[in-house]
Amino acid sequence: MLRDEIGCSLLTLYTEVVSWGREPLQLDYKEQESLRQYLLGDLPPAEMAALEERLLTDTVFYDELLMVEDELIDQYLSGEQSQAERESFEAYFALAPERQQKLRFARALKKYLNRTNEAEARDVVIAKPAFSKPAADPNKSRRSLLPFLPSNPIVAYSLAATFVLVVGLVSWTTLNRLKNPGSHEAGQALAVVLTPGLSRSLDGREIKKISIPPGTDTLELQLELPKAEYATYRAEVLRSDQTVVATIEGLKPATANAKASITVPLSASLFKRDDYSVKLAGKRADSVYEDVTGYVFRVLN
Amino acid sequence: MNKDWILTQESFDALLNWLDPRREEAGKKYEEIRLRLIKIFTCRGCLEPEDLADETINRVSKKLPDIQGTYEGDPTRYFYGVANKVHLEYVRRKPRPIPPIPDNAEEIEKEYECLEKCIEKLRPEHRGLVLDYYQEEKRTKIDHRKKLADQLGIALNALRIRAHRIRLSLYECVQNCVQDVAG
Repeated sequence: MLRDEIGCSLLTLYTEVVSWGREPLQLDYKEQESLRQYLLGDLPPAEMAALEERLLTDTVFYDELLMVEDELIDQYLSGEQSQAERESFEAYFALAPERQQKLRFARALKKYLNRTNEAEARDVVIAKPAFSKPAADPNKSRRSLLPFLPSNPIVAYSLAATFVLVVGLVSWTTLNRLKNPGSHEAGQALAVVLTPGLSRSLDGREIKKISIPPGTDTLELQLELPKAEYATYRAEVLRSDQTVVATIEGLKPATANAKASITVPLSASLFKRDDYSVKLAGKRADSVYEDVTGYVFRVLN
Repeated sequence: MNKDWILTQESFDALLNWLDPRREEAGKKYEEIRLRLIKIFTCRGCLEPEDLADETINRVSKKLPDIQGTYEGDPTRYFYGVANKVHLEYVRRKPRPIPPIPDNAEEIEKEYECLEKCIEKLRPEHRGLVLDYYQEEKRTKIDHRKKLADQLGIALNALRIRAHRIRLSLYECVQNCVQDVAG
């Protein structure tokens, strides 16, 4: 009881200080391997005392043990261990209740990642427009393209030039569509009304959550305006990491039931599971944009 | 095991003072020692590692008046010696084997829902990092993490540590959430 009361508050402080305030040095391969063997119950008894004493006195070494523990669990779940390691894992390592909990957590995390990947794969099937984030590895796409190119350099360059032209045309068309919302092709649209406010909780209300049904072409954001002060507006849509998803200019306000609003049509394929914000700016007579308000919403799929 | 002796406020204060005269530092050291003893007993396959760690600490506290005047060196090492004795007694008692936690579909689903909530609660940059870090498997995982470290301008091991810390906070959040749901 006494121990718990004192320990709890100290543990909170300790965890914060230790967890975020320090960048431990890396242990060498041999030390990491010893920790793996220790966790799997395969370390020779003669080496155990020294290792355990170090665990008690060396914070870096103890932190490394925790990391190796999680890595062993991940490797087990993804089938990256040798047969001998799997056997030790199942017969020794995974017996502790604490580790069985960690194993369940790792399974849940893996499932979450798989679901996120599946959702992203669905988005990729619908061609990503020019605003999307560049590929993490440009060489990857080049490598996958090369085997299909003919060995004759003239033919290869001709094909490549045609490919670049087609990509250019597609990008130009996509850009034009996003810049001119009126020209967006008719299809299944999902209209969502957003009220101004850049905080996560608007006057006690929860952030607007959106599920985009399969087959939706257009997400129509209907931005409520405090008042229609400008003839035209610009809307900038950003992801949670502040990368720009789309910028649309020349948006005109409409009034219905004494309420002014702006409709922003966007390709649904631009969105994946994330938090988004919309920055709205009004165009002054001198063509300079002035910030008006902001909106937030969350895409759930 | 000798469980008759009870840790009093006075003996606990004396223990903290032995670990470090500065109260805050002593508290940190105490928690470090306790967590690590629990881990060591877990690694040795003990069924109730928390109880064994507490028994170790109790015994050190009890012995303290006799040793603190003469003991030299890092007090942590003394705990290790006592922990070995406690473990030896535990093994002699031939403890029952650890029963596996049954996989209950409803609980697994609850845990998954908690994980979703906890991931939502993460700061966007932490969420992005942890989801990206644990993305790939096998060989592609190594390459993927190297690229991620390059993008962030940090060493691979620094990335590994960052991802681990976020995972740790996520794990704690999920465990707390599961307990709250269970009431």
